[in-house]
Amino acid sequence: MIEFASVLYEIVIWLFLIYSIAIVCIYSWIAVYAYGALNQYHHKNLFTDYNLIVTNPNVPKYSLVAPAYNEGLTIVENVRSLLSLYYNNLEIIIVNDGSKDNSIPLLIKAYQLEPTAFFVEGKIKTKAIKGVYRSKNPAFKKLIVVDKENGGKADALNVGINISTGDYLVCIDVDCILEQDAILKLAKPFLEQTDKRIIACGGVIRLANNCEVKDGKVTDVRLPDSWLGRCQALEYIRAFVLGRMAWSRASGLILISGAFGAFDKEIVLACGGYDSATVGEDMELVVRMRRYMEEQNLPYEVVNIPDPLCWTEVPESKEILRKQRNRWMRGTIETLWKHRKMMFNPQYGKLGMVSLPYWFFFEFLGPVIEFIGYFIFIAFLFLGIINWQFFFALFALVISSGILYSIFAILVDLMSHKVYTKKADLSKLITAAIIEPFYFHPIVVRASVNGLNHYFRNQHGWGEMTRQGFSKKNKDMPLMQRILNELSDTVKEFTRPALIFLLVTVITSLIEYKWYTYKLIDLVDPNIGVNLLANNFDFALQTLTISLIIYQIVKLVFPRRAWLVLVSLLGVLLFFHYPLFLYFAESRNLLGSDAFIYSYTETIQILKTSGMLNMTNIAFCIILIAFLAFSFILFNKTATKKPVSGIVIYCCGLFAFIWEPNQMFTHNSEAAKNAASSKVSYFINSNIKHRLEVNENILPKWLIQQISEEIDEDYPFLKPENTPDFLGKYFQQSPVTPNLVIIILEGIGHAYSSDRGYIGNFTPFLDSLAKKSLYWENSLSSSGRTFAAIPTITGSLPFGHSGFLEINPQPNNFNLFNILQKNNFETGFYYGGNAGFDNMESFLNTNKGIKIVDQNSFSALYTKLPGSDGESWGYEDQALYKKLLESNDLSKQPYFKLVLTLSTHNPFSINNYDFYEERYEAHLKKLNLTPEKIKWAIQSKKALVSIISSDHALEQFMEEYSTRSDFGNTVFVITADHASPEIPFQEKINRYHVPLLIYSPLLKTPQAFNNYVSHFDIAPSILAFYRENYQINVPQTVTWIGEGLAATSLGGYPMMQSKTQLIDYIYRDYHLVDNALFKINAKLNEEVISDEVMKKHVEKHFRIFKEKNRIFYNKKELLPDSVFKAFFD
Amino acid sequence: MESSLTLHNLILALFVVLVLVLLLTAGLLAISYYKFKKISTRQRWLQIIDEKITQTIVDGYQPVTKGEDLAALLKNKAFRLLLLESLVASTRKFSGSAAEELIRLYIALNLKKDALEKLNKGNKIYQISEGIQELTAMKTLEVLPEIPDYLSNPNEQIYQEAQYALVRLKGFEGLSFLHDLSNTLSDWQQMRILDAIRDIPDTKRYLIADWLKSTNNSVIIFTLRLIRTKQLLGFYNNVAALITHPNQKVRIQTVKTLQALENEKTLDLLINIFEKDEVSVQKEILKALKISKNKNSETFLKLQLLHNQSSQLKMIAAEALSQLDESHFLHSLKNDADPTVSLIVKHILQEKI
Repeated sequence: MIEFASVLYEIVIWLFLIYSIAIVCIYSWIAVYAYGALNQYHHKNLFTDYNLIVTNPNVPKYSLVAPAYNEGLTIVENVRSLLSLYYNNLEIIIVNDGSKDNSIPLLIKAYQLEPTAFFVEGKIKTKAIKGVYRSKNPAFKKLIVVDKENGGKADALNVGINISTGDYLVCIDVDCILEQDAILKLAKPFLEQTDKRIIACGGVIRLANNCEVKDGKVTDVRLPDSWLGRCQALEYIRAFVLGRMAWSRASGLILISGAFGAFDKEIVLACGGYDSATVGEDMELVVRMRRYMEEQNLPYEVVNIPDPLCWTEVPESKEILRKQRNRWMRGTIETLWKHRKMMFNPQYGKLGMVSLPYWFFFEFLGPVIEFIGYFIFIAFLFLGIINWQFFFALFALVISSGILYSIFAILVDLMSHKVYTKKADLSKLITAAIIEPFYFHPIVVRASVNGLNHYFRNQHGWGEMTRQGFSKKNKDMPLMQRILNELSDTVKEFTRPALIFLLVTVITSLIEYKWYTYKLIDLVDPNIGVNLLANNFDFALQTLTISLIIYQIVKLVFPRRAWLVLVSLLGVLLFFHYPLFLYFAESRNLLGSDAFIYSYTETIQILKTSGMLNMTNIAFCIILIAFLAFSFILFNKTATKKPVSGIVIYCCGLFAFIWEPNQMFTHNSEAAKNAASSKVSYFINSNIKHRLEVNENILPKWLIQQISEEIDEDYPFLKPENTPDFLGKYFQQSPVTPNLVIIILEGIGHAYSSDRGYIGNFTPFLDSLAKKSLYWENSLSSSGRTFAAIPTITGSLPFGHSGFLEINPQPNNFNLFNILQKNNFETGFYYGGNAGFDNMESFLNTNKGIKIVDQNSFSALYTKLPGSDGESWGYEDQALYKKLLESNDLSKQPYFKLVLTLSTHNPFSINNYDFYEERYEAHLKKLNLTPEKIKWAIQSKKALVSIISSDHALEQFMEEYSTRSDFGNTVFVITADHASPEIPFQEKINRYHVPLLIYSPLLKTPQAFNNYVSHFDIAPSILAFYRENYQINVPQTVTWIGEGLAATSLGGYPMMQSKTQLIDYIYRDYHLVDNALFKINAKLNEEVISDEVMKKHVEKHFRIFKEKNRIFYNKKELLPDSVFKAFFD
Repeated sequence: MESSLTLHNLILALFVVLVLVLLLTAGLLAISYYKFKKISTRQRWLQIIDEKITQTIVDGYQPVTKGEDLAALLKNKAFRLLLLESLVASTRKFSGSAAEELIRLYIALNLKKDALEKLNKGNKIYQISEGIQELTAMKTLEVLPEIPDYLSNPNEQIYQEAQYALVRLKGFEGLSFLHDLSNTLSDWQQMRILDAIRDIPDTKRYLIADWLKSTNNSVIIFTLRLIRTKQLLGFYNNVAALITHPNQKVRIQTVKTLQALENEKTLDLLINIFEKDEVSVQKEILKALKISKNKNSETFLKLQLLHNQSSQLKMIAAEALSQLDESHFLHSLKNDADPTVSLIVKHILQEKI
């Protein structure tokens, strides 16, 4: 069996693969495109004479703004370095952002500064300026030092912008060392602009760690000493030399490093300067500038030049590095969130359609997906479903692709910039490229995820939870306003969990459909997938509508707990989706209220034998719960700003109650229709219906349909026994009363036990026996499950509410056991499984003296069916027949033995599988089936192999039996309890279409019959046979539902699909299913018809049966005690 | 069965890609090593080239003798290109006889052939533009007839180099491309061209008036800069006519140029136009008045300081007044009721707090 977790594994692996392929494509593009950009730049600037602008009066003025916070140790040197920059028309503004050290006194002393009055032209709102200093020394006339209250880097930069008088701004970190020609090189793109305005320009930043610095200039370039530093050197090469160059060439650059970048001041002012509310002010400003240009419809460009212009210290301690990357991640999220309006918005051109989506999917989601990947890996490891060969291949590929990209970056850098040209540097960088994925990268990923975590904890930009019931703010308002406010708050709080619920529903639907495509090949139809999604979505919307009301009510009573109630409710619904669709995939049955009919032990047995209750699936459940909890917790305490989206969801929910998504596509088969249905919806509706039926008295009278017919209000099924002897004429008279053996085969449908079946004949022995027997081609079981087989076959008994066996205590009834026992038959029940299952044992025990042989009676000499984790339904058919033959005391005759087989029960695991598989293959060839039938046969191979095995066991049993003395005087009735739902049905009626034959050496001649018969007809005919031919004593009044194998039943046959689904009824050649009427032909094929008159007629008969059944069930008495006792006494 | 086959194929595909990636990585490492070696060789060559260039500059051109390292290396194409590149870079740093000697070296070593090869046989944009740059730097006049063809090249890099080459080699006459220039001349290109113009022949000056009437604003701006740089006073009236030009950038350059060519009419012209124009031009007018230091502008400037709504303009007016030695007036405004005026004045006076 393909485990569900394995399919999930495959889905996850494909998602990761697709994501990885996307990354590889993006990075390949970056590599190629950046290489081209670098070449272009190199050749274009080969002979550029920057002296042209050093002293040219026509060049624009640049204002260099450097914020400083506690930089006292290096600030004097750094400013000296800035003062030596080659560019004449330049002002240098140092903004001391409320440093707690002695930065200002040091600067005053070093540059002979004095505080002067200063008129600040700019209007960007900032923290207060404490003082502006200028130098008395004309040598430092370019220098302005501003002392201000602490307000963060962005605030300090804004002060610098306000004070600046230049046309362009160069914003740097004061601890950076600039190349002396840095401004010249930055100025060139601005001077070269023609049709497109250059709004920002960045340059390459290199690492100053370990470099030799003299007089504010880098004189000897060295790689950092630590591997952490070297990895960052490599990372900077990749980012600046490749990434930014490619994006710059593609006009998609949205990040100019805060450490060094130049901006068009006019645009910066038009945008309002830096945003001091974000930690990623550098990226945010560029995005905002681009947004401004897009909205103004002005042509523009943001460029990056590949010249190494700036040197900066990077953290060489993991702690500081983590803090830095944490901040970068938060900055990224803040920017993406703030400008989410542009995402995938074609109005914003490349910015909205390419750059922002790239940042979202790869820069923001990249570390998150990688981090989730680690957890999923651990989960899969725990589940034991990792294909190691695949894993190592993929892992090696991902790592080596990363290394390849790094080495490419090193090569390009080597060719273009000659920064790290020493042989040792090259080998160190290559080593860094190899160790980086294992050492540096995980640190960065973890720090980024922490950044995400911190972001959400601080609730930046995601709105605040306004859960407060009739809060203080509402108290003074008019009642109507208060109510409206309260409702608005509820809707706003409700929106996010609702969206998550809808999203997870969609994901779950996709997983569900994917699972069906694995398990149920006949249901691989995109229409089913679409309908399934529509049905689940429809149900989700309906659920949300009701949940909102529940949430509001709970909130009024328990304001603090309401949230928990809401997410628990939604979480539980999402969770139960999985077991319900898995159950459907395993059994092809929709699970409804029957889930609660089985006892706890029975449920556990079903789960264990089906193989679903294993560690893998339990672990999967835990992971699923954790995922759902995480999804909701992530958005805890958050509300949307406006109730609009919540109202839209609610309106859609209301509409969902009217909409019938099932009508989108019509499905030919019941299985397809069921597969496309919402399993949770069915489960809930079924249970509600069941509860209402059970507690019918709680419903108003007018809701219960009244029956006009005369029905005996005491014993509706009681009738005189007058079944004609149909069988007698086919038998020779035996001198002694013949023995009776009834064999009920588990799950053998007509479809695969007859040449006329839509799959083909996979029971060659049964078929050969049928030809020597009385054989009914059109025989119907009374249920779609085993629970009704024994009461129906042995007693033609009604169902009660959930099957006769479920009625406790068992009402007195006549059946083959007690009637034949009364006539001195030795009776016995033979079953390889647990007789207690489905309350069979209770039923049998009400008939004293039945020898019950079940799994507890088998010794170690018998072979059990193989099972999952050692759990199986019980003993194989071979063992069961052997047990029957061995335990049968020939001195005690006549006898009646009822045999119920097991080998063909789901999960169809049998012993000697290979042997029977060969027989299956050989038989398949021999059958010479049509391609259509071969498809069906291959699809249900495992089940059919078990059927071949069961048929072989029956053959061996009959052979063995034929050697015994009692064989010649024994009547064998062989039928099946129902068709296996795991083997696909063509039509609804196929579920009940089973073989029925009566074989005996006493038979005069074999005979096949075409009339419709039911299991309900077996007991009446058998007893009529014994009554007329062997003068056994039978009751005068009985409660048979059936009227014997000869008759065309006038009363109709009810059929129960499951313990809670009584929706099928056969009346003459009509089949009523729920609200649809089918016409049955001579081959028991059916098609839907629209004959309203007949439909009403059949419905009436069905209603009469149900009414009788109801009366019986309410009274729990089938016949008067006096009648029962009179017969036995 | 099908599913396991798919997985198997997937694993196979992954291994194939993995092998490719590993091969590529090995290839890249090999290329890196090769490039590293090449860079080392290049460094060595540059030393030899620097020595030869220094020798040529100091001692004048001397033929390359057979025994020299250079002689053997000259057969190497890559070396010749590096030498050409270095010579071009050096000619930018030196002028006069030193540059002449370097050109002699260029001719003697027949590096012209390499530069021409780039121009004529180069199939990449950068090769053509580099060819033009090298031939221009080395004053290879014989290439002149070919250059105009490149003016209409769609590639910006090529036509810009052609424009520059024409001016470098032909002087003012090379500017003839301005007549029908449809592209925008960037500020950078304008500065390069302006730098390349030495003299303006009297016979050709009439062209300037035509360019001022160009429909291409960048041509007008360039011409205004040319007039300003070369102090072509005769064009004052032509320039003044542009003060009402519809393009704001042209008007700003016009103000700057009028200031550079200043005469007795300039002040009135600028003051008259002041109110009618936008802030960016007003700013330029006030800057012009600040530079001209014309006493007659005093009243106008005081008016702007006290009553103009823009603090930016107030500031420049105050700066201009300061240039006019109006510190007494400015001091009197230190405690003006208008805090903006007061602050501006203190700022201008660089008052120590």
